[in-house]
Amino acid sequence: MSCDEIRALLVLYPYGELSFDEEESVDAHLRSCPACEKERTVLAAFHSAAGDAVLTPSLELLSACRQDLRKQVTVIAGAADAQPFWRKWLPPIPAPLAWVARPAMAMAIFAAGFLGARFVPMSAPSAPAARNVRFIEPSNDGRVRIVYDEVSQKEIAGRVDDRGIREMLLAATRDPDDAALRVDSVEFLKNRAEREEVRHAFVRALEGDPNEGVRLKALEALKPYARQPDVRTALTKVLIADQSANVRTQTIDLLVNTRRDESDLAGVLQEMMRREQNSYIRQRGQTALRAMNASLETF
Amino acid sequence: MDEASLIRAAQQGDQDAFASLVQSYDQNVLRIAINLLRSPEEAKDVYQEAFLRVYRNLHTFRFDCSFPTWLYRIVTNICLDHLRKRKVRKEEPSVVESSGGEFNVLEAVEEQRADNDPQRRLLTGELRSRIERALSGLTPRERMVFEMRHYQGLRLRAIGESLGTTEEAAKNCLFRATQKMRTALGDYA
Repeated sequence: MSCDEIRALLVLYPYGELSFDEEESVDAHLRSCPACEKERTVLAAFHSAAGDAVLTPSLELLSACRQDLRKQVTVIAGAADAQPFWRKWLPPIPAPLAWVARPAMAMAIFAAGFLGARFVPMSAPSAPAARNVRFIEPSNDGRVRIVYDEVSQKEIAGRVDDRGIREMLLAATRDPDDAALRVDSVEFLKNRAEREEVRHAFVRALEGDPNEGVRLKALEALKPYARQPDVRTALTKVLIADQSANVRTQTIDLLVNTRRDESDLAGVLQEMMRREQNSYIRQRGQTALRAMNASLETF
Repeated sequence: MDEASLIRAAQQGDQDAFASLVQSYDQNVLRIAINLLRSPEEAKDVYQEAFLRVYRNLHTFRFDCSFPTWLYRIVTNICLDHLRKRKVRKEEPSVVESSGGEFNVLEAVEEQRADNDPQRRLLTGELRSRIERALSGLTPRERMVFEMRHYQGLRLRAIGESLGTTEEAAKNCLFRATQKMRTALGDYA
């Protein structure tokens, strides 16, 4: 293949969209052509640079979108419910036929109801919202026996101070699948952090939630309690170990602004200085340590 | 409940099933829209319009293709409309630089990296600025294909299906988009 042909393929090379043969040709050519190898390096740098510009929507935006959609769907569903429900699924009957069709429809509905009552077994379980089949086995009379868990959706409404509501919100802070739900539940509970169980939920989220947005939300909710020993312990752990520079920056601000026992904080900051790579956070740590007349590092 | 059961339940008017479907895909939909349009406000509009269109037309879904393919076709069509309208207006309203050189879009997105380092943030800001400009030089279709392949990681075949075209056409589009982007980024690449 010529260099021009190879360069056309090189554009798609990093995406893994070449056929096996094409990729083999490119690899073979690159081994013997420095100019094309340089072009490959440039393209790889472009891919890396373009990758830096990827945007991830915030959980607040996702949550706002969901709430707006819920409202609009409720409005549309409300308007649709103003008609008999079956009209939604039937095409309109042309006007000249309408008067003929109505008695026929009435007879059809009557017949369907009558036959349905005779032939549909009344003991059939209603359809649950979700089923998880545990096991299946044959029974002696030739039928199949199925054991399943059943999950059904229910609704509960009340004030955040109601115990049932609060417990549901606390459970939602641990939802494994939906980070937006976890953010929303922290938001609803944030003015109730004087309660130990709520504060514990926030500390757990701050220390262990996989999503940065949820950890930041929990940190914000814990700000008024930053001097409480359990919260302080969590903050020091987060300052040393959290993966997110955003979280660590806000944590160092909070620890410094609410410090009481300077010797304890100095030890934490010195440990942080030993590990921290981010120059901005290191600078904040240095300033705080100097203000405490403490040395910058442990020895 | 598996996805097919959820779809059937939603087709029969079960709003909880519809909500479950939305929650399975809405983060991806929002991610596509915000990366393509680089505007939280427009991304929010696309989200609403797409899922309302799904809600109104779900009864026409016949399982001829997968649900995500059907959904992404709706999303990409709406995004393309937004991009084309922008081209007609000859403006890129969402690509706004503040006096600090950062994009307002940052307020509605999560940081991807340890960007609290001011020096790194400056570099990232400048790079983003160049990428925004480079993206705005693509045609709506090129931009769509580039975004779906580069940022969403979709295969060219799936992109072709979503856009109602062939894999080959999507490949040509990606080729043109990458070449233009690379040229526009200049010494950054």
